[in-house]
Amino acid sequence: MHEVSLVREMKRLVEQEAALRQFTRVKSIHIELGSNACVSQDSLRFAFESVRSGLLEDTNLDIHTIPAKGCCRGCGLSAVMRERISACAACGDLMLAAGGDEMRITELEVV
Amino acid sequence: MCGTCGCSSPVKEGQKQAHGDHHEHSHEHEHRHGEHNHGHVHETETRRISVELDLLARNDQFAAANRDQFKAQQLFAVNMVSGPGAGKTTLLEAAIKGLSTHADVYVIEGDQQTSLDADRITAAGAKAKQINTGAMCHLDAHMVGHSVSELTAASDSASENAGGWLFVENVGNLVCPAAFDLGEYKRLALLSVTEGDDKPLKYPDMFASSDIVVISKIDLLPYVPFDMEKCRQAIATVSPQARVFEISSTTGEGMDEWLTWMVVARKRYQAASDPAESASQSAA
Repeated sequence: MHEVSLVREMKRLVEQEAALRQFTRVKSIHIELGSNACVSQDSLRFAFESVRSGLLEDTNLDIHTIPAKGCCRGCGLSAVMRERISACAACGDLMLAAGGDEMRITELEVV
Repeated sequence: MCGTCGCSSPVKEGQKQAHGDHHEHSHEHEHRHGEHNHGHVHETETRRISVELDLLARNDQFAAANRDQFKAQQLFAVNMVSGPGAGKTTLLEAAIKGLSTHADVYVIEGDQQTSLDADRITAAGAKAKQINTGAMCHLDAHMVGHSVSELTAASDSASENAGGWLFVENVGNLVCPAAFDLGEYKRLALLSVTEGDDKPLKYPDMFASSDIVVISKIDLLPYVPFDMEKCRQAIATVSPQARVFEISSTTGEGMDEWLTWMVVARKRYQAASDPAESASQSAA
């Protein structure tokens, strides 16, 4: 549900950028979402409809998921974590997540 | 030279196509570089702009300002999170009695509607400020900053930097508040025994970001199927750093241990955030 706050912030940031870089329409917003960012892509897309006007009238959301990396607390092995709670492939101990909480706009395609 | 149409404009920084090494994707465009002058007009030409706009950056800035403010006012700030009905307000009522003999207790109450919780807190003897979030499912750092200013402005002792505890009772929700830093010093997650011992595994984000976990309503243990050992293991799995307390706000069981910890932790925080004190410590 906090996706509503996130899309409002997204709109505010894009409007700021529009004033700075002189564009009037956004064709695409590229977003990076960490797999541990507690953001649902479907909810984000649904919430985005509530800010779809003006600059963002015909905007396509291009969402890229970034898998969280983890470090085993036992043997220190670094690996991509496929699940929020994962065991180390080498020793079976618990993986501790590092990052994966990204939520940022990386690129705008504008007119 | 521009590789697409052969004009001499260099590729501007904002037109770089790289996003980092973790993914690649292609885009089809008639013109790749719209910003430079082609000598003819393309009104519908698409420009690509590389940016780095963090959706939480604004909240994080407010949170950092709050953290500085709390330090200056010597407020030990605790962000209390849980599902609805885990017993946050009842725990606070009991804590106010135990802590207010040591220092002032301030409480910010976040609820969708009503000032019922703030009324309870005021009745218990603390200074409270209610935030009604309406449709919002979480508190953010901006709301909290304003409320703390109002709350402490009304109190003489806080303006004299006497400090105390600031509890921010977040909206009852185990998902959304996890992402929003409020500038707190400690995050406390509550989990009542009626909710089940597997809750930390089902809602890992909230527990993973918590420093303290209070297992509440332990007076109900005889009546519910709740395995304390299993729950502690679940907490250790998602939040190995968390300090765990077992408490009944109703009978008072376990309360002293937690309150003693809070008193000691606040003294340490105060010593670390007092400029004079930390200067003398580093000199020694």
